Amino acid sequence: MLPPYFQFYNPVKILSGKRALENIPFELELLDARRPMIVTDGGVLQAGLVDVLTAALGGSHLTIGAVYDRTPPDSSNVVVNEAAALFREAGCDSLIAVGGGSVLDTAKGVNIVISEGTTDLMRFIGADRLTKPMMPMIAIPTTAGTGSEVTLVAVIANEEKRCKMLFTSYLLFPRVAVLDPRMTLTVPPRITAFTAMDALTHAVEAYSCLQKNPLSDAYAWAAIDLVRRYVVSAVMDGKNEEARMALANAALMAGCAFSNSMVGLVHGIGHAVGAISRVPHGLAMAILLPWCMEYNMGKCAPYYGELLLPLAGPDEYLNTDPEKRAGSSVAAVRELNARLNKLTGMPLTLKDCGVKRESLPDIARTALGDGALVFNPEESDYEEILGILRKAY
Amino acid sequence: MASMQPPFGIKSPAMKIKKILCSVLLFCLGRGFQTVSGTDPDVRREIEAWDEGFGILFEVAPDGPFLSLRKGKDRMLFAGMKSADADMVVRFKNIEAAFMVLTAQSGTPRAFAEHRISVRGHLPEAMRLIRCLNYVQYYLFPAFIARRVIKRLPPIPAGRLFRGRARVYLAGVPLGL
Repeated sequence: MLPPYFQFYNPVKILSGKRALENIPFELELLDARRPMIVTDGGVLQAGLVDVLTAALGGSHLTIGAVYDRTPPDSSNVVVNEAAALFREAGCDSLIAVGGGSVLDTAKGVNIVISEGTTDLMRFIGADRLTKPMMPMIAIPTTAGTGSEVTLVAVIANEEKRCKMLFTSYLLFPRVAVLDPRMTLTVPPRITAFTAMDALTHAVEAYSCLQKNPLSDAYAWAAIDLVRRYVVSAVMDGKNEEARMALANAALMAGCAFSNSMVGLVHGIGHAVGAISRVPHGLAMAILLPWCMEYNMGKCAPYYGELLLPLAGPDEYLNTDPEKRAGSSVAAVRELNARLNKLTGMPLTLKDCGVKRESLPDIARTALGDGALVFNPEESDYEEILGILRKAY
Repeated sequence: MASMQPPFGIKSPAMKIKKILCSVLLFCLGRGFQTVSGTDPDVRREIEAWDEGFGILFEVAPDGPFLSLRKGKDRMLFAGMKSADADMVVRFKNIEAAFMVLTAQSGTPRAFAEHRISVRGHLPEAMRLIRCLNYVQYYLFPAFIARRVIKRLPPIPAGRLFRGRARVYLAGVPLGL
């Protein structure tokens, strides 16, 4: 069914596949940029991925103006301002972000600081607050999960005010996203599992939240299908380039989907679980997804029923009574979680992630303030969120 | 046809009427919010988190109408129908978007999802505002209309709802009490 109205926007040029990195100089030339700053983190640097990138840029007319490699797992205003100062000092004219979600969000934050000429990010929190054209940014994800390379969102912590600042603006889209198999081959099996479940959750929520639409549905559907077909191969054999690229493309497509139709309850609660109990985002998604799907069943059963096809494959879809397909979709997510648990030891409950039972009320209260709840089709209050958390515990 | 030679401004009598209607409806929303925030215990609990003086501005692009609310000692106060500095700004991107939401043709969550509204300010506070608006809309609209715009009707006991509606319609909106 068509929604009465929807918007869809994805202006990111996507370079995906073998030797994609080598095209970056040409892309920067088109964007009239010659002196990029690389934004990354210590782990990516140690894994040698920045060396892979610089080798790929060799022989071009580019000059790497600076490398900022101190991005922490959760980006903050202090980090963003530090990186922006380096950008200015080095006279850079563009950004190449190489890393996971935090690195990509840091680069987006640097872009806000530079383009808006401010150090006070607080002035720009919220939706559509940015007005100045951004510096060209190229995003190279090294994990297959966040989809941040194709989203209009940046989440940056404010260290003084101890809160997460959310920015959404069409100006925040990177100009180019580069998926190169060399960049995700070193991700450990567990992280591969977490991030793939993050991508799966983006897709399932995009397919079932308030602003679902035929365009985001197409991206979400393809993303789920790729995760089902390739996640186990990628976890079992990290060097399997086909599986790695499949997951990278799945994460990107799920990112396109949710950047337009947004995410819902799983993310609303998951953000709070991450903020209070420091559970990795993808892991929180994996644990919460089936419980939230059950909670949303009253309003989302038809959508979940359709998703059984990409989630479980055509045989199971055809052999399942249409009335039972939605429930089987939840079971398929649980089965996938169980499989990843066997392969990587990925925890299946909040308790196993080290969440303390007494922190559940705090998590529920924090989740109530998360914007993702607006887009969830089913309403949820404090008691109901606490109920979901208790089940997932 | 001479008047259609560019450049020319675009005037629309229909939009003017919608603008007037939106002004009236925003006025009712503001006065209703003021009353409900002083009487409904759930809404009072929500707004307790806001400091005295916390300002909320509803604005319709490009040039109004506006509705300004400000937190008083223990309830929200209707602060007029003009633009003002605010901690949170809810911006309808055009008069049609405002008209759809204010006449209950579209719910607030759906309008957010459809990018018809943008919000400047802290997200947790915006969520708080949306929860308050659910209550205010339920007091303002009969259940069969409220159901169209609110995902789930707030659990207001029948007696409180009846008294609250009487207060909103008889004293809140017309007299600002």
